[in-house]
Amino acid sequence: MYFKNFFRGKKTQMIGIGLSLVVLIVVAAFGFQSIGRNYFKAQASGVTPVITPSTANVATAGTITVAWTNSALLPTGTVITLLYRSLYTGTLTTANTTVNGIAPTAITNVTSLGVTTSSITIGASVAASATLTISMTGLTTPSTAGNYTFTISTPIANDFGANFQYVGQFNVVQVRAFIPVSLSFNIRNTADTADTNICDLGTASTTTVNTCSYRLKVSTNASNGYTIAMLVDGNLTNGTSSITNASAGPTGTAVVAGTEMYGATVAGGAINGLGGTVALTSPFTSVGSNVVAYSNLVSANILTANRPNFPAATDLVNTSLITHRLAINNNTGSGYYNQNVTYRVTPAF
Amino acid sequence: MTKTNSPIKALLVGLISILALATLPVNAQDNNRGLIVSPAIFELSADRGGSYQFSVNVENNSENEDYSLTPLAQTFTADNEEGNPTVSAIPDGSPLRNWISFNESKYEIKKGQKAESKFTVNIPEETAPGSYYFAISYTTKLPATNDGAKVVLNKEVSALLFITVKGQITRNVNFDSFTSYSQFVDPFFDGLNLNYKIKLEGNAYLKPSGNVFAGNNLETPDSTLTLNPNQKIILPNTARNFTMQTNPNLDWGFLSFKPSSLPNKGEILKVSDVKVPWFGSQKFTAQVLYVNNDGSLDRKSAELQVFFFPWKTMLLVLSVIGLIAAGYYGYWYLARTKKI
Repeated sequence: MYFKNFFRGKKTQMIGIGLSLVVLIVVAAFGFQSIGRNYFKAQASGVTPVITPSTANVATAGTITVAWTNSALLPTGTVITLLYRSLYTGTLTTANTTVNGIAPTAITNVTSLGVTTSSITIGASVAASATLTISMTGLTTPSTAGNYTFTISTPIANDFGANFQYVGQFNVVQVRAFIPVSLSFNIRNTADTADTNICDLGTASTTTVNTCSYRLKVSTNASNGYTIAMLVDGNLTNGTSSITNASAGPTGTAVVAGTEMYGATVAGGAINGLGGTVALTSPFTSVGSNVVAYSNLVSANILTANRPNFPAATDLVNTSLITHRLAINNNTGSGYYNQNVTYRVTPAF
Repeated sequence: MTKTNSPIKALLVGLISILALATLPVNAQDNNRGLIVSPAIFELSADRGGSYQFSVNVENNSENEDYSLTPLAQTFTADNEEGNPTVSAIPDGSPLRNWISFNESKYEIKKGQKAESKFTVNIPEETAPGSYYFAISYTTKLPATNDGAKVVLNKEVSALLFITVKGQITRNVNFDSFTSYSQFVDPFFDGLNLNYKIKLEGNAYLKPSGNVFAGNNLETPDSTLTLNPNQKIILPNTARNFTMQTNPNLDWGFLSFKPSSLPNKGEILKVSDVKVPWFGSQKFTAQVLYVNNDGSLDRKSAELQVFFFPWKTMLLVLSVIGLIAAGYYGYWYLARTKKI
């Protein structure tokens, strides 16, 4: 009932005719394609011979085979043609060449314009769709690295094709780039949100311990990591008197309100280079919240990192946190106390 | 209807999320790397009387600071056996003070800008053959403050320059030690740790090259590893530690040690996996190659025997068997005493 109604009326008839035409065109296309395939197969076949070995060392003797699928029956006595660069030394003869394991009845070699053309008269027929393998032991690869073609052509089947033998690894494309060691260093606030070059201990009093802190941020691709050292221009001083320095590590000194003391704690943090570690040197390690002396007039290494480091834009892990602590007593002279600290970053070697 | 559309919605949401995530910066380095120096390591093989030009790119990648940088040539020594330098001023009166001259005495680099710092290395004719070491430093110098208790913070970044003046170069290379973390390694549990220390005597630095061979026959080793994949340098009259670390890798009965990806481990191996027996001893031979002054190739070797024995695995298996046996016995005992 549905189909009966479907073909009722002109509109549905037109749709039906259109669909029929589409079906016809599709069928015709498949048919012609099939015919076309057979037609070209009868006329000529582009083949891709397989060269074995596909890679070889320069100036090396050995067996070279050229193989492809033969398109049509080649009777005994058919002459097939092999072309190759005359940079290959040696001559193909019936003694050092076979076609499918059978010695040819004749081979003639003509060299012209750097190409040797070997006409090989096969000693046995080769069936259609069979693999045809020319095996040669009389050639030595060129002494210069390069990609060299072997080209074959046959009558009757009209097979024709070429492929490369890569001599001296000339096919290996070596991509080289020099990436220099780069080293960058910044001093950032504790939250790693802004640059800083001042650590402000504020106004000291005998009832509090004043602190300030900042982060040392090193980025480098140096494979062996980096070193951070420090040196100061002198003690924390007002020009006439200096604050008592803490002891050097590994223990350091506790800072207690009311007892004059100055120093810093170093938290080395981490680095994100694979397998990397950060190690503090002994004078800068301390116990608990103890501080260590920050009074080295000669450069002293604070920490070492043994791998590259690529901290993020804000990174509280792969950066080192330095905290200065100050306490004064009633005898501490008044005035503006300051100290100039230089952090020195070098790549490890 | 809603149910039918939910997978499509989920797919769309997922796709949009992936696209959104893909557009996010990964580990972005904004303008806060500060003072950048590149290249940071130089090597120079120099002739006596020679003059050599170098340039260093110095960049101000700070957020809000303009840098006034002072270039300075210093020297360095090895601080330890891990390749960390100790930089110090060239002593007064040392002829090295005259070796390096900068084209500029100061670099004013505004934020976001960079400068090319050129310097010349002049090797005096009378220089003795051997290696010499310089740190090419760039320092920010800020004035002291007179306001409260403040610590002024300066930055200095140094490039290292290794110079070898040609002539009679002597190097005496020796293995100070070649050890494994453990002589008895369970190949199914343990990683393989190889540690070696190379000591160098002479008048020139060495970037050791060579291999560590695994196998009882050196002529046909089971696997070959690069001795110094990170191109570490040993200064003369110092020693340098090297560590290799691998993890066990089991693949259908084939046992090998894969390069380590665990943190806090040593050098990453680059050439091949280490093939080891699951039971038995394996010899490791570390061999460093170096060229003598007359051009001849010399080598020094050290050997280490490691015994592979799955003792941890066996303990585990025995423990499991023991537990099962104890369970059975307990069950049997309770059943016998009719408690269950």
